[in-house]
Amino acid sequence: MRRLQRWAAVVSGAGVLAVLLQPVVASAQTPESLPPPATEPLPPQVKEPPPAGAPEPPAAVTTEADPSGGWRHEFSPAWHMATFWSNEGSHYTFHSIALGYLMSVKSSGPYVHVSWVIPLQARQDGKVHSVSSIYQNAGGIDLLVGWQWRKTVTQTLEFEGGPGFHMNALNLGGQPGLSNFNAIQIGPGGMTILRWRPGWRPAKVGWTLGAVGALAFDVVDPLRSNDLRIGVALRIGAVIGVDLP
Amino acid sequence: MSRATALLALLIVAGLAACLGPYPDIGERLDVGSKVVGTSYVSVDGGWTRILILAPLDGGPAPYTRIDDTQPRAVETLQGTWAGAGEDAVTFSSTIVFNLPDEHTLPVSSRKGATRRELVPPQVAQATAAISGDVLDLTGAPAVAAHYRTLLGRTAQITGTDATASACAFHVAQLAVESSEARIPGFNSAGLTQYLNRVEPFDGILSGQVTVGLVGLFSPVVTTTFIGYADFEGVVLDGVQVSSTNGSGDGTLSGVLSFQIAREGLPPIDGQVDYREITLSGGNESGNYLITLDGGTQIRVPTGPWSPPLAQCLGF
Repeated sequence: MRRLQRWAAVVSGAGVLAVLLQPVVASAQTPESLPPPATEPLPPQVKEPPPAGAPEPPAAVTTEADPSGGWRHEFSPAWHMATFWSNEGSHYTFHSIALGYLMSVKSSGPYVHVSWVIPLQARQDGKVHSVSSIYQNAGGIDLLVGWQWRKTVTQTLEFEGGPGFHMNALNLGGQPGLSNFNAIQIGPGGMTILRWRPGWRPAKVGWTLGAVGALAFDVVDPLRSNDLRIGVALRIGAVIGVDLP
Repeated sequence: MSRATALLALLIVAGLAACLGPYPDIGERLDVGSKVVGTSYVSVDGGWTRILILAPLDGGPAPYTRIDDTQPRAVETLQGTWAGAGEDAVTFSSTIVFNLPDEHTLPVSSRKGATRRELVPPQVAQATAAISGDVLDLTGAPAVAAHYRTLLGRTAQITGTDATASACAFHVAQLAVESSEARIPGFNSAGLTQYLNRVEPFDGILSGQVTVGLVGLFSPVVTTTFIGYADFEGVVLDGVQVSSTNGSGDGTLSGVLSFQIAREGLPPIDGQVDYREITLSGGNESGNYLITLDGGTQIRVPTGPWSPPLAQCLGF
């Protein structure tokens, strides 16, 4: 349902954009460019050739938007792994599905990746557990915020990458008789996206497909008395989205 | 809002300030205590009380529990096994330690609260035991060493229903209350949020059960219910404690807790603690406990240092 709402937002955003652009398109047809009212028949217009020796009219100047500019809004289903070591000597790993919203602005500008993380498997010191067998209402939020640069690789391929600030908040509610597991891990990270932009632009909205990879090294967990020695969060997935001017 | 979403929101908002202690194990059981049915001994020195429960040896190692209670409200409980190791020599092998640290000077958000740690490999201590009448002298192993008397023999020192007897009975009952808190992970800290919208049971070391549950994230109400709860011989608890606070631990305590204190050679003492005059500031209690012993009048026992001291109550 959330995904439908998100795409509904994107579609409605495109509609709003079209409404906003309508006056601009309409203003291109000024009264001066319209033919005068037909009060009497006009003589047939004959285009006369320019007189000999007259200068050539200047060629029409076309302005094309920077193909690596604009906004990118994307939905990203991904595999998410958070593995970390505690100061008390344990090694934990959570494998999850991540459903993310990715956004970036301009060829050099900020980006935000925010994902709802659904843990499926939890491991500790070699023991493997199915999350649903020991936890209920398990979920998390993975946030990566930073600065990105875009580069056009080919006419339809675009590369984006940049460093950022990472936070992974996890909460796994214990089944009756079992304790909860929760964490807020923070550290530096970064991401890369390779986009295919086929040039299909219905309603002047460009569609993109691609892949995303994000890596972070978490070093602080304020929720857990800083019991975190080091953590690695890896997210690899697909992206599908729109690019707006 | 689902419980997971609510908890995540709380975690993110309070995460930078809150402190839930080290990571738990994946799928960690909340109640990991062991039952120990045996003779309870007590030793008191100033504001420090040590209780030792020894299950009878039956040809092999038997379970034991040692509870240290230091005022104001710090409890460390060791559990494991003990065994004879020759004439007068005994061996204690401890496998788990429960800890409720004294954090009354810290804000609630910075407290670790009650935690437990498995001892791998077990901590082994050799001691020398000398038993004479109701006296047990253990020497040589700091974890258990003390000059003990049987607990039932000491509670027999509490007689009457006057203010002194009421206060003494309450202090003995309070030992059991504080002992129970050490085995509830997260007790006295933000870690109690893991009991949001759930009620979790914990077995008494000797018998009965205590349950804990929390409702409300930002104005938490924690209900602790004792049902025939006993961690050691002599004290059985029944009733309810309810704390209603804000996120900083400011609020009130309410509920009524009944206690029964067994005495050697005497009928048990029955009484009640009413918490309605207790206020909580930063998670710390202040005000008066209203104590009523059966056949007596209601007595106000103030919070703070125990008066009369427990050593005096129990005739040490």
